[in-house]
Amino acid sequence: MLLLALILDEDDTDLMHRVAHGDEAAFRHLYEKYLDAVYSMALKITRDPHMAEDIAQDVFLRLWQRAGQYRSQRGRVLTWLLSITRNHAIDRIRYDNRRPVAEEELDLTRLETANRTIWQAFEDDVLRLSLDELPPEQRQCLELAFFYGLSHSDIAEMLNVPLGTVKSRIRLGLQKLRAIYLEEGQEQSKSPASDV
Amino acid sequence: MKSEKRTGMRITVNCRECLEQLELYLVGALPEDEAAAVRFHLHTCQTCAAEAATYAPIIEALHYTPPLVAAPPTLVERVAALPAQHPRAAAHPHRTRWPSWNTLAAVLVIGLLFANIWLYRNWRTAQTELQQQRNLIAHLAEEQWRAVHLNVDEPLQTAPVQAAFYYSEDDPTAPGYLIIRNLPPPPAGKAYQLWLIRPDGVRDSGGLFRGGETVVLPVEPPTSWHAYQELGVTIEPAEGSPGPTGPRVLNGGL
Repeated sequence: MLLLALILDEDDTDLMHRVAHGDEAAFRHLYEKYLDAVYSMALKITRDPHMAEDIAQDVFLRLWQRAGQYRSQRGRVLTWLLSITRNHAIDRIRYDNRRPVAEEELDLTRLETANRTIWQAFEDDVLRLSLDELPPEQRQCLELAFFYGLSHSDIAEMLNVPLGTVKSRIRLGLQKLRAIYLEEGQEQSKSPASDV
Repeated sequence: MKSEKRTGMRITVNCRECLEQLELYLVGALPEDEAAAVRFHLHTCQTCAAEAATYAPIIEALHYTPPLVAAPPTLVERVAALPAQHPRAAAHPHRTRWPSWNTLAAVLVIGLLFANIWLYRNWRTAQTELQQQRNLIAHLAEEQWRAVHLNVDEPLQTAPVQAAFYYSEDDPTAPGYLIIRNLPPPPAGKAYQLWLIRPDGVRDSGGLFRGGETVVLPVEPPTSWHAYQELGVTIEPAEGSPGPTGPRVLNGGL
């Protein structure tokens, strides 16, 4: 299931360069390509469609006004947009003093198991990561930290488990994802044409 | 973290402690002071930095895991309207030069005047400030300075606030300067706090300040300006906050 990232999105970099020079057609091309992904990230974090719309609009306003600040050596355009979206959305839920809705987040049986994630919508060869490969408790702690900006002590308090348990779940979860990634990389190197 | 060592305001960690907390740091689960210690260690230890780099594709991939949801048509319309609502001036992709050097010089001269008044009241302290202002003028007159114009957020949009941040691209470890004009005073018991934002969302405090006609705030980068992606200013308690809690009033990308 895992693919190693090998291809830089040179087309996107060119589009960003054009947007930096005020090219509206390039801007349209980028939002038609990535607006769903940005909105999805904002919605994932805020759980509020209206707030997610505001955040997505802000992100694309920034893209329109600040495309020149993008540096291709820092990573893909979409990763850059998703990173900005994540930071912006976490700021908003902190400002509103929101926390993940307990009934949704604490019920492990209701954790999202979407059939289609952001990466599945693009041919971008970003590492294809499935959090479903983790035990639910590890996935839950990783998501609460990464998507909701909660510290380990916040998570321990929210889940009513010892701090050490939260630390272990996050460490083991990320280590497991890395192990899967490395294992897949070795398999691909043995049969290079199998999944490329 | 039992064997943390505090040196001034900074906690330091050794390699073992850094690696124990590495995964927590990378997903943003550490409190700011502990995250700062790990971050600092990673900038000074190639072995631990190499270990952290093994997680880079995992952290990137986490951004791609949310379920894909189609943007509502109303959002598409709003985004499509952005170029018309925010027409671009002359394109200049990488550098925003604000204010002009003459304006900047005038602002700094005003700053010098204030510094001299303060000198009269407290000569020893003001002398240091004066030297800083002179150094600033000399620094900013050099070509390698990059100016980043900061956006004004809703709480201050009725005030004629102008703000820019200057830092050196040639020497990204050198202090930068936040210069703000017409910044209203913060509410009673509050102060403005500058945040330096890393790509992973971690915020480092850049300092506290109050409003005024001209604010000149020297900012020491904890490591390098290249480690930061954005700047933000929020309203926080007067003694400062370990992380942003109040409304954001200024923001800009590096």
